[in-house]
Amino acid sequence: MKLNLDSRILQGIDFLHKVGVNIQPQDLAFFVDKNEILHKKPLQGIKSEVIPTEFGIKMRTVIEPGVKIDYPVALCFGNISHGGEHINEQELIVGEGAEVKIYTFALIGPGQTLHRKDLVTVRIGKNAKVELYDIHYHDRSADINFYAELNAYLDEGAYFYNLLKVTDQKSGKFRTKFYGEVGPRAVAVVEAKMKATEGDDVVVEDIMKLVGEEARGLSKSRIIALDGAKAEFIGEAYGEAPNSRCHIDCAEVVKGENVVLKNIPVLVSTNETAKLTHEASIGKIDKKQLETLMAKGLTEDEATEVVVQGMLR
Amino acid sequence: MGALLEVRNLKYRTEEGKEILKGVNLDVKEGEIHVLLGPNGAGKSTLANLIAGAGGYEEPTEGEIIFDGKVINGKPLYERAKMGLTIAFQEPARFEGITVEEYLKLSARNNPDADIEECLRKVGLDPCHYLHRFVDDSLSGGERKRIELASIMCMKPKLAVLDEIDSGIDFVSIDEIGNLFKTMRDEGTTLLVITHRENIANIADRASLLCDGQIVETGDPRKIIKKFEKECLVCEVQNPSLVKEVKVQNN
Repeated sequence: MKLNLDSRILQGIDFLHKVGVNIQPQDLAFFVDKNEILHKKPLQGIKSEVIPTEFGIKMRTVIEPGVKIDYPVALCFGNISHGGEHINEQELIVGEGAEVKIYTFALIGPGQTLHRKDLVTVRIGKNAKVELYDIHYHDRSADINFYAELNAYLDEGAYFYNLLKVTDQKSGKFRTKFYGEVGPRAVAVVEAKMKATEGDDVVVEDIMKLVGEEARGLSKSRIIALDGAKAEFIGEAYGEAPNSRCHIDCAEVVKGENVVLKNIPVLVSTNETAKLTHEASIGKIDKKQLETLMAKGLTEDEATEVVVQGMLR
Repeated sequence: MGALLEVRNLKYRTEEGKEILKGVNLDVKEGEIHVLLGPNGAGKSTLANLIAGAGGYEEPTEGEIIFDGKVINGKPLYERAKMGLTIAFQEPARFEGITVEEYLKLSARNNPDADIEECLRKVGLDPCHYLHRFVDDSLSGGERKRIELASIMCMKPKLAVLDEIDSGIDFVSIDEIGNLFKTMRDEGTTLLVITHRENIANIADRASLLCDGQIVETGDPRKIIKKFEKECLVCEVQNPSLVKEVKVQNN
């Protein structure tokens, strides 16, 4: 069946192809250009309400208990032809035992100047499983001030995985905040992979609250900062429940000059059986990694690119 | 066969003034497995790094390194690799997000005939289980070293310097690794192998003993192993703590 799609959708798909995301028009469940809904198809097992607002959209998605969505759900939130003030509010409710894998794409087109906020809340029921991949394409010519907030509430035995990735373009002024409340025997894993180039100012903040017995959390960030970039990571873990565990792992790699990096881990335990750990590093690419690759005949620049691309994958 | 690698009067002093190599002379003949033995701290890894142009890209204080008839002092690591000289480090680095398949393809980029799956099989790893794994911390030390050996096989260099590549590989597999070295040699790669394992040294065509920054003897591996065991392990200069311990026990 031939899809009659708006040219902006095709443009958005083209952005993703440029950065190696092989998505096809028929894979898309939803496409909005700021507050203009360009495409929405009904999905089996998913109830979704979308309301356009002056500055963006409000979206509420519900997956009923026990429903297992066996295909990846792809949602695009773009700024293809609209910039300015932009606010997206999304709520995802996943019922007990349900499973879903969602890809959200933030697509910022050429020349856009925008101040965008994505405010996302995810409520995950008992033993439910959610994977949320948040992939950003920011055109190099755009002037970006982006705030992305994700609040996740995990019920007993739930599993949540989130990957936030800014593809090899530009981050802009980008602040991201994750807040997770992890219930009994639930597991939350959040990863951020970003590259900050000249003029970019990136802040990644992860807060893990382990509120249930044997709750598990892992926060892993990889930030590559090139000439003239600023990047900061703040990782907070709160061990409030018995036998809860959390590990925070952040590596910030610098390549070039006039780079400012900060790495701030905060571990707070209010339960004597909780165990919180962190691993933080700031520095150049490991010389051993470069030499191992250079011994295969790669130049230093080629070896650096291989290491960086691997870390951001 | 002539010398593929000639090291002439090689000296290396650290920035702090410590003399690590005090005039090393070493020939590695084309087509041989040459084992380098020596006590801890004798300068084996420093020599290996200087030959390959690794170890922070340090250069010798004095002396010449001649590879395939050309002086290679001052050439960066990657240029030496392109000439056919490579090194496998004692602790090969690990890489997030790079699969074994990609790593081996990078290694094979100047050798279009390489069969990466066959190289993995030769080091005892099943391609079905390993090609899509990452070359990261999820691999054990032994697995990582086997992958490094496979990557050297994919490159098929003229000379590979293997710095204790056999350490961390389980004892049972050591004979397999020895056989692999022979295969590499038979397929055209000359090997300079740094090892502490007698059964690896035994498969060598020749061996050299490095002591206190100098080659003290080169020749038949069995003879060099005996010399190493009889003289180096009880040397008061190289192993003062061990010798002291033995003396205390004897008293």
